[in-house]
Amino acid sequence: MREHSESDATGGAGRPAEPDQSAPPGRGPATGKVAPESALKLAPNITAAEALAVFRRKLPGAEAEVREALHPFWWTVLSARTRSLFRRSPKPTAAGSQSVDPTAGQLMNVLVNAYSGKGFIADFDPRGEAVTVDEWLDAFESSDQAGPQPGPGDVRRTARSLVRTKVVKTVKLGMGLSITEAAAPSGILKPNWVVTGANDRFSSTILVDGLDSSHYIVRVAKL
Amino acid sequence: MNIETWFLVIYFIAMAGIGVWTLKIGTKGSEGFLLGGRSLGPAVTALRLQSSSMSGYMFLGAGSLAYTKGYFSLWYAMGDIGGGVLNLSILGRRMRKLSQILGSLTSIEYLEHRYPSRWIRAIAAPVAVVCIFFYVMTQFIAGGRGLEMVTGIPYAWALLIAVGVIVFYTFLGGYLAVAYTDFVQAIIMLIGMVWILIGTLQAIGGWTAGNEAVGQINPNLLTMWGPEGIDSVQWGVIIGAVLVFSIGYMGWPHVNVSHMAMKRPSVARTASMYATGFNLLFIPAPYIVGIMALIILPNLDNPELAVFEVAATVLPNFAVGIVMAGIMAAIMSTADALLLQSGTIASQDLFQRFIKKDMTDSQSVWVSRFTVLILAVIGYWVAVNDPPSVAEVAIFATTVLGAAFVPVYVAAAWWKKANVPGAITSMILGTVSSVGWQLAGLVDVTGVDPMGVGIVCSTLALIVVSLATQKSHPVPEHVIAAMHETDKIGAIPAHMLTGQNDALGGQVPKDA
Repeated sequence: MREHSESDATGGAGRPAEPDQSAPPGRGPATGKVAPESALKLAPNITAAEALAVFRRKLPGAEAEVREALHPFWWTVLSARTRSLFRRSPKPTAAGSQSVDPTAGQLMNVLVNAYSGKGFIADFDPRGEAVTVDEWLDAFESSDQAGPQPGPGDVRRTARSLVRTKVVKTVKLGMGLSITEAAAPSGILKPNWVVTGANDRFSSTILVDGLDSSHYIVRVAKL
Repeated sequence: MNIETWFLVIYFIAMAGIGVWTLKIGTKGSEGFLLGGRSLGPAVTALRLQSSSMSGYMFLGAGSLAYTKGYFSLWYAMGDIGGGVLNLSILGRRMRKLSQILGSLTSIEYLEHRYPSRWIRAIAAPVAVVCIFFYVMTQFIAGGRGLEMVTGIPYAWALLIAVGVIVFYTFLGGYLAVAYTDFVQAIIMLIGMVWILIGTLQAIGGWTAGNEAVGQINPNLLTMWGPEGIDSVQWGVIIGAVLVFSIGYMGWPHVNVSHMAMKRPSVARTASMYATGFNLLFIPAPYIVGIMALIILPNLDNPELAVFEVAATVLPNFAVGIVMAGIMAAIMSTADALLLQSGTIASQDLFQRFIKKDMTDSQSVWVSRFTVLILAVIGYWVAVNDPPSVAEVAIFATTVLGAAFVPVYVAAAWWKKANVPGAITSMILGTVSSVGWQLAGLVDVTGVDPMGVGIVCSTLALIVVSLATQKSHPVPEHVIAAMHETDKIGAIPAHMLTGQNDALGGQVPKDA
């Protein structure tokens, strides 16, 4: 789940800021941070044992311990719909109703990092258990990353920019493109694994992505 | 200032402008400076590969060969036309994928990751740097001579200007600058060369009339067997000629780095079509012009200047300026690619690997830049004081590169049993045999090109030693797994990537 580093909420869209049409966002009870109305916790695709294997690939023969760390993201769903330049009116069915829903398009799930504002289009359907907004805020407090900490309006702009860029790459010249919001931004907790350990030469802490097992070396020290 | 000089000035400014334009991207980090952030599409990949591998040879050497040997010279053209597509088809997709899985930034580092031993780099890096340095020096000399001829300014100053412009944009933007200027230069080369060809054919009254006139000079010049006819043909030289310019490319680190900078592995397929199209249009032209120069300029003192002199004779002044820009483009596109590759090998493969292991990305980029500068200064000093023979040094350097590296690069991508002892022996034997064959004067005695000897020795060494040492030096499991993944078409799974996912850096918890 590599984030698209070029698409961030602070201007990655390269377009003038749109008015924020979102509903008034919730406020965290203690922090004053912008918080989502609802939140979901994703189930990890990668097990703790697999995260440990990633660690041992970097540090052969290491003894290590694994713990789960949740990182807060914003999640929004957009519908992208293309139409031909010479669009024909939808044909009525025998019963007189329209055969297709004119608003239907390709749904894309966009996840935006709640700190950095960098987002990516998920190649999976986010599923998991519902959690309280407080849990999302706790996860937010568990990190001290620097960043613009985007609100729902920023999330919408980033998501639109990502989806537009992706669709424009494939549509033919002259096709129309409309992007509509299929679900308002909500909170989502993405699972990662923090693996800490050492072999006879080095000690290290590595963050392993709970969805795709890519890794980031947090620190390494020679013993 | 004459009109030809104006065209060259505009051309130099445009190339420097591209360097400045790519400055921002080039300084983002090593992957940006050295590989353009792995962002190049098929057209840039293909034309960059072709223009950087052809060099001033196409305007100096090709014309000279054709002028002296007639249609025999097309053996070299045949190898050249197929070289790009062979390189992209055999190495392109696999090298791109394997280099990303193994986390390699340079073509020498790629060899070390594929054959995990510090000796691989310790042997490959110096061989590559020495050969590349000699080759880049010949490009400086050719650039200086060309500029001197067009502008009339003294050689020392012409050389300084040519070296200065090349270093300027290599220094500023790194790989992306080089890749994009090479792309533009390939197009200028093509336009310039085709223009000369059309002007030449018009001047001699068409190809048929030209061939009839050449046939009257010596009928053997119209055959593929050389001026002395089929009885005295040297098959060893023919095989060597085809090898140098067809499979020889696959051993050139500065050419192979193109594969690693592709946007996606699948770019290789489209790029090979672009490369073939470019080659078919471009490569035969200087040879045909060289042959037809026998009619237009029958008493040429220096055959290497055949294409230059024909251009000056058959084209109007303004066109000569554009064509000269094309010739300078060929020289400069090779020189900048070589300079950057030398800088890369020095910073990544020698300095960071053996001297300062904890070097930051920024320091690495600066070591690379200083190396480019130092090599340029040394190259200028040698070229201005005691310039060696361009053609001899260039062919010798590329022969050694090909003999030393072709088998190890091909086996790295295709043969899962190729191991460390096999690769080390192959590189050493390839280098020693080709250098030894040349220095011992065996080329004249046997009629066999050192490239052929070197390739045979290094290939046999790789196969025999790898098979003999499979038990003592097995290929590591992670390399085997990476090669299995390379066999497949499609995206690389995240767990295969050796390099870290920097986006995860934004998800580190406080207490980690």
